[in-house]
Amino acid sequence: MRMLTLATTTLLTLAAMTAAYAHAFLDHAEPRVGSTVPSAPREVVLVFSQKLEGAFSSVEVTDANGARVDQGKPQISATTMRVGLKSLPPGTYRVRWQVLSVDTHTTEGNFTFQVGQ
Amino acid sequence: MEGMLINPLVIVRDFHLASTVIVAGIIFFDLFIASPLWRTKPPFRSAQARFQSSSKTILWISLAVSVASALAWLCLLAMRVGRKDLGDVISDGTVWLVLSQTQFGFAWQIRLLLGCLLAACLLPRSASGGRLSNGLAILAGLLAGAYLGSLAFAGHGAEGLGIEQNSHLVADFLHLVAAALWLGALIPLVLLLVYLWRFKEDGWVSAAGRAGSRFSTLGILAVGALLVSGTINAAFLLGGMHSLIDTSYGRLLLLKIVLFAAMVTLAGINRQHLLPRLSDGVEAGRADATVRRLVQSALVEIVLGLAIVCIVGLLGIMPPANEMAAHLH
Repeated sequence: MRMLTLATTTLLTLAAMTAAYAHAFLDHAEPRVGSTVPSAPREVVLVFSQKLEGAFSSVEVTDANGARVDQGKPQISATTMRVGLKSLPPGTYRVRWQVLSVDTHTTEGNFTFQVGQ
Repeated sequence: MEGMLINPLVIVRDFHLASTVIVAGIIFFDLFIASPLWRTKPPFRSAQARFQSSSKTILWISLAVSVASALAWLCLLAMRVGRKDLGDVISDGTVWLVLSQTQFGFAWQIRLLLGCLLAACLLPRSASGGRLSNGLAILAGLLAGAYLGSLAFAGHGAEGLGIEQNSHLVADFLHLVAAALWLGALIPLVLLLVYLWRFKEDGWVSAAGRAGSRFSTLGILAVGALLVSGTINAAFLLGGMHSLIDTSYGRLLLLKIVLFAAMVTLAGINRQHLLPRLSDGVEAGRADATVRRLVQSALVEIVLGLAIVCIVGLLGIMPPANEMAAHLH
């Protein structure tokens, strides 16, 4: 009986003890996903669920014609990635991101936001 | 799921974890079980010589596989994050970038250094026919534990912030070392029992019993450590018992649980029913049969343990069941 109890307890803890590596998912962004902002933002800020590896994380912002409107290399600090933007006229813009979390998993995604429409 | 099963990274992770657990397990077994046994009277010269020769061979092969698989893991990771083939990631410096600019890479630098130090520490063992001085044996144990446990720094332990991160790190470290104390030490246990039985030197039955009892006691400590470390991580990783059924991750986890339950059950049977039969004075045929059953049981546990390692390798590349879906706002 004692072995059975020990075994059961161990099983439940073993369930949690697998080397489960997490991925860095986008937690929130500014401008917010799918939002319309009244004036052109100066930067895009992405906040993720895990810490990022700067050397392998990137973001680009493009306009409706596919031209890049970001200012290049993003700044990355812990879970946050931010990139400066050029002056944006009204329109729809797409943010594409690809990140590597510190536990070596890559995730990517994209969303749009609108300026002044 | 099928794609993940043949994912080279999963295979390399499995080889690395298994070989590193075996390296540490052999060193721990030598430190806590074999060496104390060889110091007792009467001596078991033939069994000792064969055991040390075989365990030395397995140890060096496992260490070589561990280091090689660590390098392969680094290259495969560079290929994955750089989205290039092997030749490109080596020639354009992506491998070096991963090694020098990521947390994983920093951990790998430390681990490879620990592996080299461990190899250097073990060289006198090879030169002296398998025996290390007490000081070197303890140092080897510490290095082996650090080399294995530092796997935690390369992935899971890097998650989270503050107390959560530190808790993960400590729990993972403890969990890995406990795995070596039990799973990794099964192979030298089998070797020891087989050689004691084969040569049947005076007092071999009680020696086998003492070795088995010591191993069983260490196994209980290891299970206890798994319990503690698992409890700590359960708070962070389990998103609810329903995840064990609703997600592929959870179902794999259930399979791992079943395999582990089988191992614990086998170990319990051995401790309660087989080990008490190994004492001086027991009839020779009964002793032979008991040792044979112990060896068979240990071999089954090794197979179950390797299956668990394979599952861990697979689960390690999957998002855990409690991972929040990407929520955007």
